[in-house]
Amino acid sequence: MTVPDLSVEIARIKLKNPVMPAAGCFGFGEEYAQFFDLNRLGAIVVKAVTLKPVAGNPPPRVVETPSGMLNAIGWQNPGLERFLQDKLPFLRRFQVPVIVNLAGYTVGEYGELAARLEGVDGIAGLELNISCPNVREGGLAFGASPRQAALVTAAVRRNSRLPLIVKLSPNVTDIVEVAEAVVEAGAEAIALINTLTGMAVDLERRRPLLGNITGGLSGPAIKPVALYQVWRVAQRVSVPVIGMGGIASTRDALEFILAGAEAVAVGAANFKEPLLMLKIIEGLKDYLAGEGIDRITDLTGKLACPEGPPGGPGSGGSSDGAG
Amino acid sequence: MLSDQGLVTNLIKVAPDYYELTFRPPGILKAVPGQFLHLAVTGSHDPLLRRPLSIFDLLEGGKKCRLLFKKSGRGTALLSKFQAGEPLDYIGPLGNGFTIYPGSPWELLVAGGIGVAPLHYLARVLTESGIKIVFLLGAANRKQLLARSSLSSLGVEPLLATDDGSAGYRGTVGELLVDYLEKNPAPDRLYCCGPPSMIEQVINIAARWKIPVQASHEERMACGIGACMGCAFHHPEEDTNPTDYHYYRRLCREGPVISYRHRR
Repeated sequence: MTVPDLSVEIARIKLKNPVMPAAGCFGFGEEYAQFFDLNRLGAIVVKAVTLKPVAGNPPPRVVETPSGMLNAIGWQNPGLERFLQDKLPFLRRFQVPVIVNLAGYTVGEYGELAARLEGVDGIAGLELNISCPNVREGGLAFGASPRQAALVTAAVRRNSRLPLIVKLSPNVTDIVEVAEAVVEAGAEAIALINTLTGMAVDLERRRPLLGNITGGLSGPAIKPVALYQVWRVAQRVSVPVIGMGGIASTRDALEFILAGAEAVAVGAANFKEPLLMLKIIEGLKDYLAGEGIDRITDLTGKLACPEGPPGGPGSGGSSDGAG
Repeated sequence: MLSDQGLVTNLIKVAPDYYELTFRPPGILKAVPGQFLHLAVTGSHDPLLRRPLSIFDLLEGGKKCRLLFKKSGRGTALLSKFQAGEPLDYIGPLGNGFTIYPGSPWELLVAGGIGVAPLHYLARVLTESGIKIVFLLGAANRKQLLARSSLSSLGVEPLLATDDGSAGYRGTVGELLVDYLEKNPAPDRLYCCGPPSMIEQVINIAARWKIPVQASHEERMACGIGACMGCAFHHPEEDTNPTDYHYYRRLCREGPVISYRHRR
């Protein structure tokens, strides 16, 4: 029996399997390298890197919610210089594509980050973070409007020849409009979804539980929303989609692939199970072997929907068609 | 540091809402007092996150581990239902523990409520190195004065304080500490753990006597290994600007034990 082929190609990046960590849930790889060989991953996606160092939001920064968690880290990171000096040399040891998540407070900052990473050894691609709900300026401010999202994407595209992925927010009226706008502006792949904006309340103290008041919801609680958004976007854009949002098992990963994702990212569930991504890689192999499928790409987007599904493409993002 | 699976050998209720869980690690568990284990309280993803618990005791050369916890939410409620024979999935030991000074003749330990857990393991390691211990133990009431018999078996008889006066000194363990320091020579350092307000009170008292403090803190954690930046902690003695990258440290890595030298 032949070993099933898990390899995929996304934004000119060749991955030996379609499983990677979601940005922000894996630091710069150092901590999880104590648990397993990072070479086994399809790609490594690092935490958001900004031009200057960022201190992040006041604590508490995380709150558990039913089947999920809220976070409001606020892009705490050492900044571009120290990323290049202190973090990238470690990542270069691995024979795995490294995707750098870029975050900025202005369009100019995204452009400058891209320019400074051009030609740097050990970087396989860029992921634009225009969807973080936890910073007051930048982040989601760019991801919420198709025009702004396109401006940021174009600014990076002008300054970089690196493979370009744009990560989108579900906190918008119509994610398809944003997806189409960034593809038009040069995105070679779309990653979705970032976290859903939410909050939690401490009833006893009558205060918000998060220091930042609001945060981003992740974990299995958001999986149905993420699947829906991946399914919609994958049908409407010509570029590959990286699906994420609540993936915590092989089965979850397969559901996203059927919905149209070429690759998947695992986020909050890593915190519970540091070896989860390896389990999913093995699980995908077993599933393909068991089903007699040669290549994972044979499953991509193969969700069998009845004709004219309610709430489907063309319904403008409204889900009330299901009623 | 790896994720491991131990075997629960015992779970008992030691006071209303307080439990002690004993398990056997798969091999030898080596940990510094003050370090913690990150426990999976369920095989499912609800609740999604692990629960960090500091090591209460490590026995038989690391073949037996005891954890002491308060049932205070969904996670610890699930943990309180564990039974002998069940597997216990944990990551650890994690974090920066207490610094021990082997030549020291004696040490002062100050615990409030469930904060007795890491100090109990510290007391074991110190007494086994021949270091004498003065242990101040405070709680809301007599029933919540935990681990007394276990401390006693180590030869440690704690000085007690209860808010309601049902045992020992009537008042907070901080007030008991003031009383103690007024009547006795000051130690070279002080170890403490308890609720945030108690730790703050103890640090302020220690500052008056210029006694360095090693305090074990608590914060909500997600990954527990330093990747997610969720358990941010700002050290009030650190000379950093609120905009510096290092203004917030990770309590799971640079803590949970934080040193205070009263420099500011």
